[in-house]
Amino acid sequence: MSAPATDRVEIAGLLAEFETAPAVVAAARTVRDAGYRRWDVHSPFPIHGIDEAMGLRPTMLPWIVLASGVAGTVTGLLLAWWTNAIDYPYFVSGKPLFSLPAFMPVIFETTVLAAAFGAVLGMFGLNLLPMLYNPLFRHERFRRVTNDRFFIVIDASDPSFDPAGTRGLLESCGATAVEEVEE
Amino acid sequence: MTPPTATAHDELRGNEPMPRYRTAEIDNTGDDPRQRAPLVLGNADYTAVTEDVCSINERGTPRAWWVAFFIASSFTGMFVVLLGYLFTTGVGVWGNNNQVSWAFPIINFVFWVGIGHAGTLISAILFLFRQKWRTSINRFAEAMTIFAVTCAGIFPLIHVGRPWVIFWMFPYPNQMEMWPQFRSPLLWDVFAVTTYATVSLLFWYVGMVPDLATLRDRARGRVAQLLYGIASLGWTGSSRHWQRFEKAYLLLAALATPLVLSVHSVVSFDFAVSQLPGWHTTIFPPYFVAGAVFGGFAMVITLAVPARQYFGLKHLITLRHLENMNKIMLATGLIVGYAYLVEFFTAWYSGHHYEQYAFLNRALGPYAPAFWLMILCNVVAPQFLWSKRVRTSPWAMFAVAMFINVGMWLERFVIVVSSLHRDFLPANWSHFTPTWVDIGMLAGSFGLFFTLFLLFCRFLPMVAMAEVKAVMPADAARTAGGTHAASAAGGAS
Amino acid sequence: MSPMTERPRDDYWLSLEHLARDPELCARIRDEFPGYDPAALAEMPRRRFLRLMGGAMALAGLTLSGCRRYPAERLAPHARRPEERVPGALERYATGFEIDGATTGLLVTTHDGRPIKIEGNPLHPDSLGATDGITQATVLDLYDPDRSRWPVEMTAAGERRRRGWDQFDHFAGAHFRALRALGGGGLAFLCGRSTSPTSLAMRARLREVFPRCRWYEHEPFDAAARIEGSRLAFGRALRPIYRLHRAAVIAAIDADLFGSHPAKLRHASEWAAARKPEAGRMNRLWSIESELSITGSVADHRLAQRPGRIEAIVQELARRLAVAGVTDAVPLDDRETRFVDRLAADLRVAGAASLITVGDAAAPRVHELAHRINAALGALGQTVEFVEEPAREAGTIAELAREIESRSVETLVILDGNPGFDAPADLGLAAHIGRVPTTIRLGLYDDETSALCTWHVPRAHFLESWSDGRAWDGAVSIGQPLILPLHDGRTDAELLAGLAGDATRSGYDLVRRTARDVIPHEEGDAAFERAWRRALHDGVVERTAWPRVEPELVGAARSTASEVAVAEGATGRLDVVFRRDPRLHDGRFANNAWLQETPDPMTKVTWDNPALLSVRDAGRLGVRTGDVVRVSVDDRSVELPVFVLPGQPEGVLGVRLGSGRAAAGRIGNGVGFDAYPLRTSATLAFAGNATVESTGRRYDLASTQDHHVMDTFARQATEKRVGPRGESGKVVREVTPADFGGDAGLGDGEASVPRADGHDRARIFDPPSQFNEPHAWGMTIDMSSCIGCNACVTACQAENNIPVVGKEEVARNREMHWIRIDRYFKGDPESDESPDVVHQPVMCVHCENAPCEQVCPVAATVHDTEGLNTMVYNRCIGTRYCANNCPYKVRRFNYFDYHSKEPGEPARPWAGMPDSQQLISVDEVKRMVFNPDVTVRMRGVMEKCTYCVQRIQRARIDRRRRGEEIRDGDIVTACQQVCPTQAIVFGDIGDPDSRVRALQESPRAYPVLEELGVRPRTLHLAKARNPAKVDFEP
Repeated sequence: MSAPATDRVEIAGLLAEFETAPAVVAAARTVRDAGYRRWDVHSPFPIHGIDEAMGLRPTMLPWIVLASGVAGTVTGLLLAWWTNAIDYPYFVSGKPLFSLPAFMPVIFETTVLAAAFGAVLGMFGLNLLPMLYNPLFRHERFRRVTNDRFFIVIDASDPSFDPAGTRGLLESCGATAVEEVEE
Repeated sequence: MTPPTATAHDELRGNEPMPRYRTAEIDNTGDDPRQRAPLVLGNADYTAVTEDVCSINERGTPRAWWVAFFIASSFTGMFVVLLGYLFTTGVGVWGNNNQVSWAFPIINFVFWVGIGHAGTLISAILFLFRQKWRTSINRFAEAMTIFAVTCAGIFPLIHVGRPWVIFWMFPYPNQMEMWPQFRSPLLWDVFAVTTYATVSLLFWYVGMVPDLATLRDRARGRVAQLLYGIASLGWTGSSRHWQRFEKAYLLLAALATPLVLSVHSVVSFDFAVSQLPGWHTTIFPPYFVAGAVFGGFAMVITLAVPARQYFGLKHLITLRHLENMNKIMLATGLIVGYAYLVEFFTAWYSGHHYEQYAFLNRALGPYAPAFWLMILCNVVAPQFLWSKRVRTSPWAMFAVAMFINVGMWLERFVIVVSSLHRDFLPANWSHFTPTWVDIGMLAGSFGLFFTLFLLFCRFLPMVAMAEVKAVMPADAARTAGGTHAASAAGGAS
Repeated sequence: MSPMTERPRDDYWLSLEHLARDPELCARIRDEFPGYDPAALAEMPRRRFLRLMGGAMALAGLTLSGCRRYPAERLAPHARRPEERVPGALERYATGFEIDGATTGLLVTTHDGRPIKIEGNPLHPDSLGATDGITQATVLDLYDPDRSRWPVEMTAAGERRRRGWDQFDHFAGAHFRALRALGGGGLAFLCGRSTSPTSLAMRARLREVFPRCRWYEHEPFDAAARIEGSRLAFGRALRPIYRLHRAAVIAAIDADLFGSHPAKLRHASEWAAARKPEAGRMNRLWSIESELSITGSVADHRLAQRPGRIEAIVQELARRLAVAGVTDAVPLDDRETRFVDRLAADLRVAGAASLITVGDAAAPRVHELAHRINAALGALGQTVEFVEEPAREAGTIAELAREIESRSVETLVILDGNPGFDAPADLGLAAHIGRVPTTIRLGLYDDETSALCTWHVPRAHFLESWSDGRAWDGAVSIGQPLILPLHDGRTDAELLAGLAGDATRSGYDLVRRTARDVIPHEEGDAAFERAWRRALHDGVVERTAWPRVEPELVGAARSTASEVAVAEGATGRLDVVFRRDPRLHDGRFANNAWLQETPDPMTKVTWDNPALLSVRDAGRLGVRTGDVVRVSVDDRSVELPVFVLPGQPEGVLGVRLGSGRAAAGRIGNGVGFDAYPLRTSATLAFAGNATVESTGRRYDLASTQDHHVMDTFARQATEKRVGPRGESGKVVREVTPADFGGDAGLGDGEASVPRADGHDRARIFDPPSQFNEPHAWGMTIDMSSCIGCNACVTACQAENNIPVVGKEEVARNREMHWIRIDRYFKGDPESDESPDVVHQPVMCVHCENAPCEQVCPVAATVHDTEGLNTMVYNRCIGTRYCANNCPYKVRRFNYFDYHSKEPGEPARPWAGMPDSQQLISVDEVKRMVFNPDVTVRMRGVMEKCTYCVQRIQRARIDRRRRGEEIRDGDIVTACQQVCPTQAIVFGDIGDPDSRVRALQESPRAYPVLEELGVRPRTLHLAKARNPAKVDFEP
């Protein structure tokens, strides 16, 4: 799949393969320092220190989870209170219509449920998943990203991207192979 | 003792087509503080891990699997038939009566919910405690959780007199303008169990996405590619994704931990909130949770020992993993035993006649055999785990685990039946004897459990590859070895 | 089913055809309706089925109500005049039910022409508003699909052919015309004991027509000994009428005053009236008996002894009380001596306020001695009155057997009864009947006896018949039909009139004719009409009781120490005591599912009649409850399962007759064991020298209590709860008159008694309501009045459409009765002393803090503002958590759709719409007994006592319509209404003047399981016992 690129072909970016995690981390630092913005590191497992190496900012996911959790609490409380004390009140075991202690378990469960959905949906949302089509999948080589290989992909739309220079940069920092990603 | 790992590593250099480490039992249970014992043994670099795990799904279906699956699914079939009989004829086909209104269905429910807990404990609590050794068994245990909760969920649905209106338990707007009654522990159950099932499922699936992607990328067949492709949602292992992924996973663990503790507490409320002597006791929540973990780990052992043997995963699910689980079983087993003791003490100390008789009757009444058998299984049997020889010999621990499985079912039987059959007024003291339908449904639920588990082993990654790789020390030597393997693999492809 | 699918042309739906214009519909209904062939049901489209059923039911309602004989025969409704009849409104009519030759007055509730509930007639001396369980259950017999529906003839070839009435009348006409020519030679009638004026009149009438005909009477349980006894004492046949409320000390000698005596209801009522410790009235009941009867179970002192010893004991008692002629001391054992000493002392103190009663089974001489003792104590005319025993010009069944043997009976007419089943075994009556050329049987069922006869003709149920009868003391009551004969049966009188060839054959005319002579009235038809209307309306006619007589003793008692000593012969073998089954009488009610499922008052066994054995004998024989033993007397033997019963006299095997029917019907066939083969005309009461050996086989008895063998700890726990002999326990409290003054031993019943004003112990939260808006319903149950007769159990079953579950289900402890009568024994079963017995009725106590409510996830059981713990059947999903959390375990769960299940068979699967099973699969005729005010519960829902909420609503509506407030006594629950001792009282505990409030404030009142703080609205009144003072001088 190493066909000579003609000028007509629209290059979406460059795909560089690395063999080890340390190698890709090092490369990532170089790429980061080279001032690239629109690029990414792909690995079979989360690599320690890669965030720092890529200069990623912490995710906002925790706030989403907190929000949904609080929403869950309120929903549970309102549900129990409105149904049992307001909309459909009846005498049960001579207990008060609004018996908060007895409602606690349900409120707790709704909290956890909502928070969990917040975490999962939030994560996939921020990751823009599911995204079943991805040009990278057309690279036979890239199949090993989920097995034992590490990749750096630099997007052509990156301001400081230029096909020759970027390829040079990547090869310079120890990529075992560099390919052009096509739309 | 000296950690044998270095030597083990050396002797296992190079990779034979069917390397010895797959079959050999290697003791990595040494506790030398100077040397962290490895969690993955043998010539296991990233490639090998992927190979070992995925090949299980990619190899042709073994005959043994078919045999097991046939047996399990025929029990499931029986379960379905019995359900039909139950729905058409009435819950009277069980042995329950006016005095013992709850029996097998609820016992099975509590039993299965309990089983589930080990899975969540391993995946969530051990994760929070940074117990790295969990990685190679958590997938497995989570799957067990899901299936156990599935079995558990069936019983409350079918044990009611009119299953076709079971949805009245859920708060939904309806023209009757009626709502459920939020003071009832059964309603708490509905929320607790559904939440637990949902969260466990999410947790399991989220953790599995990267491994599904692995299967996708290795898949040869079109169908497999398609299915795994959809299931893995287009995962590319992007580090930006990994960042959020890890955060989400951490948060889920943080949520699942209180959840798992709450679920069995709520289940125990079914009993503790009532005023029946033998049920009405504040020790139930912790006691039930401990019991659940206890029984859950027993079930993990029951599944893991044969599985690692058969699928050649001994280097991933190592003795160390098994031993750690045994230690937890021993600990929780002691808690359970203590709870039994305290129940009796409280009854005696309370000076409450009905309470006292309830326990006297438990130990010496008509159901005494069940009680003492339970003691044997849950209190005596685990004591063997004090011995390291038992903790590190798979089949010995398997035997202990079987005892505990039986014991935990009996525990619920003792709590439910022996408390109910003789309560306050001697005139309505009664007796419970199960019918063949009771027994058949218990067996059927096991059938369902194993059917699901076999399907899981066949089609889904049994070990969390990504997580295992993450905990493998990425030193040069290993990676060099990896290169060999890699090139070999590359050449092959 | 098959005999019923092909229906006779002339059955009770004929009237439908008159009404219905559409012949197709009528045809349908004829095939469909009581034919109810399931196959036909199955293949018919549902909508069509419903349409036709709808039509049929509508017409049925119309027809039955339209066809009540009011316009033609002036039936007088009890409550209101029929012109105002509102369809759907309940009406009550007075009628009467005769059994054992005594009639009890009843008020029967009908709904659109269907009798659905039987109550006692408060005006009637033998009812006083109460009834017994059997009478309650007779309404179920009315709708029994197994009842005989058409005449049957046995051909020469011996096979039985179905016939029509016209064919029978044709045959009978010819046959009896021929007989008349012979003056009735060779004609014999066999009937049950009856004091009905009309029956006697018909008897006389037939004697006119057939001068040479002979009459025989047969009752399995006969009063010959009693009558003979009175002859010995007074020289003539007298009937003692006990006045228990006047007695301070009562000795019941083998007398089941409350269980089997024809006047049992009045006895119970009078006895209980004089048993109110807080009112300072407390009689003392001594019992000497050879069984454990309910009378003995409530006795303050009881001596259980072999029947052979009773004569000796009574004679010794007579000697102690200086009865003329009784001189020789009889050797008694210590137990007997101790008992007689104390009894004699007690009687001497009580003097004229004492009463010796003797049961029919006892020997004539015991009766005689009893009369003499009563006389000696001056009790005659005080606690016991006498009337002339109605003369019976009739032979015994033994004589009949002899007559048949001597070939002198050509034609035998058997009116009701069932001699083919219950005649003494030695007579071989079955064989004899077969030998009579012409035998005609009038019977409710085509049963064992009918099978022997050349003709069987269907008898009308008493609710279908015009009848009259006399109470135990002779008071006349008129029985009016509540419904047209469902199966076109005839009454005895109607049949006899036919045989006599009379013109007037309708029951109405016959009864009315006798009434002219019986009902006192001024001259003139108008006057009689008034009297007649009044008689119908009241159900009992004043000034018709037999005149009291003041008898003189004749001669002196012979004192026969020697004979008695012989009778003593304790050979180590057992005496077999024959008693009627408290549930099935002599077996005639064996096909009544309600009665079959009613627990025996003592053993609590349903659907069976185990032989009762004392604990010691059981030990000696090495048998335990459930073992099958072979009982042999001389050359006769039967096999029976054993029940080991505390309080059963040592050396006595108690046998209950009436079960084990072969031709009772689908319910009763093969249920229990037939013990009649053991019983000969010589051993009607008991047979001595019986050998009992174990067969080694086991048999499952379905009991509603003690489902298990009690281990030691269980026994200890039970004793702690029930209390040791003579003391209070945690759940059963006991008092003696000594406790009054202070309420010692009662614990504080006060504090936790729910008060309308909400006064209460400290609570952790404020209750949302005091449950007293506008009323606060509550109940009290007096355990010292309760005699454990089970009437309330059956009444509740009838009132609340409670299903029958069958033996298998009872064995699984799934009985559905809303009321249990918990029976506890106190004291060591091994000891000489007969154990104390406690009857504790328990139904839902309607806790204010009901534990059942908070655990229901769908709020299917909630509290209303008046304190009712209500069950919302159609909201219930059947989690059964409420039952688990109910400390009284009074909730009942429909594990199957019991109404559509045959008691004998396992539940059938139902593939149709859920919850619709009973709507479709319950038999149409059976369905007619349902109380329309009470939901018929479907499978899978919980149910329990509702305090008869439907009666509360009815009373509320009635009052509101008149713009009034509910008053105390307006609402009477079914159990309260039927209770002969008024042990149950219901009402508004918020109303300071209500009876129930007064009782709840009694020092005897306490909430069972008070310590749980659930604040029950039903309080039990502690059981009061009145033991004789121990320190006395003999």
